[in-house]
Amino acid sequence: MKSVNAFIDTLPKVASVIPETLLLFVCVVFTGIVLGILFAAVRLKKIRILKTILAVFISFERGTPLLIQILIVYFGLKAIFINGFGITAANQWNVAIFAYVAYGFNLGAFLAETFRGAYYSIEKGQIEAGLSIGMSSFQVFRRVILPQGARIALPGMTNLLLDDFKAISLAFSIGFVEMMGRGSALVNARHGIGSIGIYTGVAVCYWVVCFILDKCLHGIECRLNKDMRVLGSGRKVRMARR
Amino acid sequence: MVFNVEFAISAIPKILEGLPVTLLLTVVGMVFSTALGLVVCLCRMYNVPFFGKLASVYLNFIRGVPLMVQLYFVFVALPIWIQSLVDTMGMDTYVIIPPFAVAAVALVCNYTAYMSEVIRSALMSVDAGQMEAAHSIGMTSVQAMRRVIIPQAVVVALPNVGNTFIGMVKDTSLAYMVMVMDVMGEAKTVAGSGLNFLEAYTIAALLYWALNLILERVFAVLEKRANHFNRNGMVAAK
Repeated sequence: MKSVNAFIDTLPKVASVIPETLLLFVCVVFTGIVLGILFAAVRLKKIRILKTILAVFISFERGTPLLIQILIVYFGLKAIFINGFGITAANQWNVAIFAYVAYGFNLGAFLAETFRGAYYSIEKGQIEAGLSIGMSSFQVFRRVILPQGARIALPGMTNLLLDDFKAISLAFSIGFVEMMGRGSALVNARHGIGSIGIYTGVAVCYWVVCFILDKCLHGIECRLNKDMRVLGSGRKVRMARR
Repeated sequence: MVFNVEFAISAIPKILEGLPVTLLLTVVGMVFSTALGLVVCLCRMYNVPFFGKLASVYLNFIRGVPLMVQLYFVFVALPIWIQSLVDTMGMDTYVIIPPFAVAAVALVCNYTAYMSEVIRSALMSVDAGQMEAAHSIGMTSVQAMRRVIIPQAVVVALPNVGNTFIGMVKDTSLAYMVMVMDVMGEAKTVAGSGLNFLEAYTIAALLYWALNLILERVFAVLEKRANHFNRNGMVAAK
């Protein structure tokens, strides 16, 4: 009964931090996509030294726990700013900045691999054809590669983005207040009474947001696939019924 | 001074002490999540009454909630539930749950869901005609599963299983949040004495990186061997 009461009491409080969490998530997603395209481009263009550095960096980002990356960015950036440049104000900075940097680079590294795979799935002849009719390479990217690549990359990207949203719960380890941070603060404030109920509330919040995100991303997937006759496209099922 | 190299080197042996715990947690997670994942997957595929539905709800919920939240939930709920179970059984003991058990339960609960999806996609990739052929020559369903379907499914599942296990190695690092002294836990303890968090965490990160690179190699070799008899080239989805 204690748990049920705690659940009902704290659910609005836990849910009230959803906007902040989503704001961080949206910023991370945009940065991640930009970095991902950039990383993928560098690896595909085969720029000699940069390419090797990036390959090692991406391997590191994919091979180490995100939790450690967040902590390294948090303590590392602080050490660089305070000890390196003597900016002591770094101690008072919002932790969201550190979380943003860590998540952005992590997502960028993962997306780079997805984008690279999508690029390889586009037939080389199409790029050559684009160039042969006088498009610049940027035009080829914008009009030929992007529309087709986006469709191929999106299912993989959807999974990464959902994982990333859930991973925001890790930022609570450096003190960023999202649902998890709010929940555990409430548990401490109530001296652990009804803690099961509070954490259930946190889980429900995450589940609901994830469910909505999943639906949105799936909607985009269906829209991109609308003139493709591929499996898994919502439009095709509808057309078949007609 | 941004990075204290001397401290980092001196911290290595201390942090390595946490390695067995991390490895044990990973192995426990791998074994149990694979076994339970198969059960959950079969419940869903054969639409076992009640359990099939339960499995779907379980999957849906686990996949929408971060491991961190599940870990804390198990951390607070498990002792209370077990204690009340012990109380109702009339035993007058005070149960103490070791942190390792909490982390293992949370990890297995989480990864069972993911493994069951990996196993399901692998089983479904085997042509349905194979099962019919096995039946037609008089094998029972269990025999057909064991001798025909599973050996083929394993080959298909390997790349995904490898990725899932790499994810698991990384996710064991969360265990330090519930006071398990794994690589992360040791790193935090070492760092705490001199506030050298950056150095200690960097060493821990390198350790996880090395572990994952080894695991990746192992799975690459396994995939190559599993594809030995496959004349159509690698099955692995490229």
